[in-house]
Amino acid sequence: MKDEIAVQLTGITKRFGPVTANSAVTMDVRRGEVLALLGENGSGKTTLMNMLSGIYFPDEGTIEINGTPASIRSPKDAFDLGIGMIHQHFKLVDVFTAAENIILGLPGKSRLNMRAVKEKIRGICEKYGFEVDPDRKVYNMSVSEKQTLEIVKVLYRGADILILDEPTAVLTPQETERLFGVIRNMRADGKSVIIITHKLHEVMEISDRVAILRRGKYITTLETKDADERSLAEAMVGEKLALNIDRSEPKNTTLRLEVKHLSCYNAEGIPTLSGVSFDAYGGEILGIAGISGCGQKELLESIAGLQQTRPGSSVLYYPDGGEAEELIGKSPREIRGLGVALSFVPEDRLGMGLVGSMGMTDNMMLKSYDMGAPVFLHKKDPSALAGAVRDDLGVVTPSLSTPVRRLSGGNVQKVLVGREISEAPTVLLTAYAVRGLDINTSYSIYRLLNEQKEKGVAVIYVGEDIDVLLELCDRILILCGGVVSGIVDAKSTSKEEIGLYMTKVGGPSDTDKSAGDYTDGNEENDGNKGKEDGR
Amino acid sequence: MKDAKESARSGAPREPLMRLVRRDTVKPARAVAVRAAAIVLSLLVCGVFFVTVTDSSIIEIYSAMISGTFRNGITVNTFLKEACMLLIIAVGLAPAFKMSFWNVGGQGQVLAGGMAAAMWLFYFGNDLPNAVLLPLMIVSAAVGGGVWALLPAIFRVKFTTNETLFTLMMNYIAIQLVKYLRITWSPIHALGMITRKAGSLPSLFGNENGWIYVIAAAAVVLMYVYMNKTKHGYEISVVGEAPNTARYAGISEFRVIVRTAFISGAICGIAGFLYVSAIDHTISETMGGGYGFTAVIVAWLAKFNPIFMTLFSLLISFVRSGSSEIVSMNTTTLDSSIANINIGIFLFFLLGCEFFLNYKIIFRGRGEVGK
Repeated sequence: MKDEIAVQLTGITKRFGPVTANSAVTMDVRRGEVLALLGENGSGKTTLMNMLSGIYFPDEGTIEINGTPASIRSPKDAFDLGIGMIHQHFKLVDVFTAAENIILGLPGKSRLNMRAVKEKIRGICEKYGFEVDPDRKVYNMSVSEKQTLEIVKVLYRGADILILDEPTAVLTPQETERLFGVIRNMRADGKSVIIITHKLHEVMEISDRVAILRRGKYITTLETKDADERSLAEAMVGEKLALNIDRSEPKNTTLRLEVKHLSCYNAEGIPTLSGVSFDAYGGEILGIAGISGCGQKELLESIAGLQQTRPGSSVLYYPDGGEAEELIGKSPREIRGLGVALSFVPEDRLGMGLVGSMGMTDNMMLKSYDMGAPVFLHKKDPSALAGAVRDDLGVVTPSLSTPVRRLSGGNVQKVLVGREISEAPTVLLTAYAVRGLDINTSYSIYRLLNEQKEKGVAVIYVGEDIDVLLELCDRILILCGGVVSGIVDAKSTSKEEIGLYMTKVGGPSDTDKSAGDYTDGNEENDGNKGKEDGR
Repeated sequence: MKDAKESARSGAPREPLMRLVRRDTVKPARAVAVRAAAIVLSLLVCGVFFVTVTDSSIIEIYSAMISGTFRNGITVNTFLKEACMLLIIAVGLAPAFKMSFWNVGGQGQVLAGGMAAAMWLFYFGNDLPNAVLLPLMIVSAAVGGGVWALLPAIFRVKFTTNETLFTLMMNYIAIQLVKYLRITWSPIHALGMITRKAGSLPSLFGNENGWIYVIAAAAVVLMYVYMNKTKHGYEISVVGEAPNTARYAGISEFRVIVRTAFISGAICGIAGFLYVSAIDHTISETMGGGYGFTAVIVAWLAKFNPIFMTLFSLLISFVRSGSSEIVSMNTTTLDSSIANINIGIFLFFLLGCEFFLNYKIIFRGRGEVGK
């Protein structure tokens, strides 16, 4: 049973116009194994799996499922073959309950027997160790619950082959642990699980074998027990890597920002930040950790002047040798105009920060286009800047006027980070600066941030990967449901400690029964989440 | 599950008969070829259509269409005038569309501009010299059209109303207002107090449509510069393409949307002035003959590029004048609305061909041939 081949891909090729996303990929997945599909961004992992789940149809090559050739023309074909994919962006109807989402699109009798459906859902949950309330509406669910629901949905349809596209990107360490537990249960049940990821330590922890893709080509499949993180990273990138962040001791730290009692409400009047207070120093990297949607975005936006804050909030900025300036109440332009250089790498790099249809040059002048003589645009400086950013950061683009939408994710990110750093800020706010970037590029971004720190810039870094936060930052502030649950020294804390702060205000001291408290702690921000998603 | 197993057993897996693949980029040569093919096809279908409804042969149809447009100075002038009016309205709509502000109120803005211009004509037409009257008419027409677009813009930004519905409704308000004003103003008009010369644009280069051509050409050039070379044009692109990015860059959405909507409406208003001053010498609710909507398609097809807008306007005007000629040859059997059917055919093909520019169809057994 163990060595039976569940999926055999032979010579799979997929092109999008001039871009070849997958080129003659031949690989297999065994029954009852967890296969990690590893590769840098843009290496074609998701495209390959989309062909297995019926989203795309391969241009060349064959797919065999359980030894029989298969033609997967639609997600329905995939379901019929027992293949289910859990996408990065969940495909759920917000206003439906869990059970309604699960049976959505399934054939059935004209009379719907909800009780039987719920019974079956509970059966699946018990078997694999899920926690799903069939009557809970999706908009009330946390990200982790939505993901669980997606998995249950796929299992309900009888999937034997599950594909998870970067499932841990949105989870806390504790949630990840729980997900891995479920995956192990599924493996024990004889299901094949393919997990797309680029987090090496997770590959080591959960997988039986690792298949590696590089630039659309299949490289090799390794037994996980024979591999280590370094060898995997090198197979993935194709060259020797230096995987360490040089964290220098903060020198000559000076107070730059003093945030006091910062509170925000969202459009529905639900608090997104309450009473956040902290200081940020020049020459230091302050990390901000937290489950996504816990107020990180609002915090940075408040400092940058993009958020309406509650009365009593205060953000004091200390320029070199000058009087403290209150930033609350100033517009983003005023904040720049005062000589306060705040830079912001937004969460969603294209949606907020860049204009997809414009080239690098036009994107470079987004904040500076208004300077110089009136009426007409002056493209000389932005064009020079675009050239410099391209050369310094190694942005791969056909030309400076190629729409940035057509660049790969990593290159888009470099354009954005390059522009922000080029402003020579004194306070650099970055949110998810390496989101979706490959290892090499991520490390060059870390190096850039460290350079800024050494120049005396106060860097505030909102990150997802706790391992990186621990290595990169000097101090880490943890947000939980819009409240500061703790500020810790990055050198002396542990991943577990941060994980506990992330889920419970007050942190580890009173969370011996963490599992139970965890759900309660999460309840608070669930309300916000659903509302935010609904907007 | 059963089906899949059965089909797998019964034979080799079947690729879908045809599937669509989105094109990443289109080579300019291909884009031109596909559009040219669409134009030729649409003219062919127009011709066949006429053959079925008249007694003429296809050759007679085409020669009539061509002679109806280019026979003499008068037909050429009519052809160009219609093209220019359509073009001016399309140029007016373009910045709004570029900003993702779906201004379908071109008709209303033309009428609003026309009303504002006609007001001067009817009340001061005999008292003021044209040198004073015409500038007053132009400016108030621009303001009138601008205000007609400004209202939906303000409501869109302040109350997030849907500007498509709002601008559409403003059309009906304008139409009813014109009907009302025609009754109110008709005694003045009927008394012959307005001489035909009052408030009329003088001829230019010996051509009575001269000013229309100049204004259309100026609109094209200025709009091209405005959209591509100015700070305002940059702001329009950013707000239209990425509103969040605009907010983040400190660009005021309110200012940009309101300003651009006003400019958009003002240009349509100037088209209304031209109808009153140079073409109709009066005001009526049918003024502009639905160009407010046709212009939406012209602007879209041209991807807001004023040069392409010129081309499409000329083509649509050609189909119109050619169709009218055939109608005039068969007045007993055909009605002037035939022209609209032909423009419909023409637009169907031009819009349809966009599909072949954006997607590639792959038939079973023919893998995608990459570069």
